[in-house]
Amino acid sequence: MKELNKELMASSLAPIVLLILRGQESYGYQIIQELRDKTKGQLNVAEGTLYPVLKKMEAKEWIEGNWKKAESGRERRYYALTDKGKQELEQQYSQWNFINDLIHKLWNHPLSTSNSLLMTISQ
Amino acid sequence: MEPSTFNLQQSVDDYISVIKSQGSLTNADVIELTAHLHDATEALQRNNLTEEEAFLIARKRLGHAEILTEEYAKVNTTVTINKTWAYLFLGFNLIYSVPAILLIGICSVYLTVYKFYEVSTTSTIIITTFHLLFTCFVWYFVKQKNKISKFIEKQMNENMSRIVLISFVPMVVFAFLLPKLLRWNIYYALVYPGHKFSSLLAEFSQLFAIINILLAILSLVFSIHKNEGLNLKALFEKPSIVALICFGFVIELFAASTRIMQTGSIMLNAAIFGMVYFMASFLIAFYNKGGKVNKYIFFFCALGVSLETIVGMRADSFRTSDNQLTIYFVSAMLICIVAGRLLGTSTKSMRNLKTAS
Repeated sequence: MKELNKELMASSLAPIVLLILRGQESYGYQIIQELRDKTKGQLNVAEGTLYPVLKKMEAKEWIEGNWKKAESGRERRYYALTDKGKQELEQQYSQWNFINDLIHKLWNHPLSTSNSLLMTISQ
Repeated sequence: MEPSTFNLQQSVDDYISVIKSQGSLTNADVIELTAHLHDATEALQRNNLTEEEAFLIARKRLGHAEILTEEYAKVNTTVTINKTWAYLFLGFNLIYSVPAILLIGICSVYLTVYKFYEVSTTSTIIITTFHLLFTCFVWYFVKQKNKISKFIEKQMNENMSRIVLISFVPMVVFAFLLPKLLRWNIYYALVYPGHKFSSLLAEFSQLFAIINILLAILSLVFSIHKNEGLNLKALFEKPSIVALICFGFVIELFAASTRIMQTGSIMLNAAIFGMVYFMASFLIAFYNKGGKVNKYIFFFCALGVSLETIVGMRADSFRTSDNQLTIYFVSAMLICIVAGRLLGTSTKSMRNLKTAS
């Protein structure tokens, strides 16, 4: 079970939700299920914390919520991506890709020669 | 095997109520979280779990109430703002209606006792006992501070609008619906102990009750910043200068009210007057360390000594007789303040020695 850094989880939840809603409108529990399926249950996040994130995104008009009656007769709030949300998703996607590329480059960058020398001396 | 008594709807409602009682959920959030728990439970039941097992897992996965409260509080800022206004309305209504209800109750007692017993020893005993019981009730009410605030908090979290609307009812009744004649009698009846019953004891006990109300209000106000429960130690340990001055003023009122009890001897009157200051000075010295006690006692009695000296000397100058009463009362006051300070400090030292041994 992966337990991500709290801040990392908080900042990445929004684009993940936008990506899930890009496919079709969905409700809270369904979004959680999708997340679980995609990570094969590896991601450990308190499910209830998704809803405040959805509220924040709705306030920013990235998503739009509507109440609908489920088959069981219970009210469910369905969320759909707005045009503003699509633009935001594109922006965040490119930002995450940029960060991802940068981390890859720095990770694969050979260690500096002075460091190599120090390692040799210590051996 | 015993049939299961598990009730899913009740269990879901109970858990959501726990989160809601923390005060950061809107009604829409409650519906959404309730639906989530039901959906999660149904999904888990498809994995051959019982309804109860599925609910327990779903509840755990939903997250701890504290975490959810914290996260919802960040997005539901209007809930906090609305709650603040609800408390303001509630406070205003209670400040007006509770004293009004008490006043009507108290005056009803006076009018009833006077109607049946007029001026008599029986009426004096009943009224004095009533005042003493009322004083005990005031302090009992103050001791219930935590329970009362938890009750109000619970009502606010369950339904803010309901409790605010209910709090308007006494105000409407006593401000607008009560007949004018009855209200006139209320103000008139307040002076019954002194004027109608013609009893010094009844009048003194009435003043005693009023001064205890003032002390109770001071206790509540000056305990706001203290984390300990409401007790003598919390009230008297390291008091602020403002608290000491306010306390000194109320003690001066209390001490002055003892003059109603005309004992016939100026020395005895002064001694009773001084005893009030003795007790207050003792409490301050007992609950504080040696170095700062003098400073606290100074701020506590400065106003009282000044008032007693200035007002007393003015009153003496208007007196037709040769009696200069101020000297007796101020002397008794100062002697008793010093005696209270010394006894308070020595009692504390003896107690510390006893604890150490």
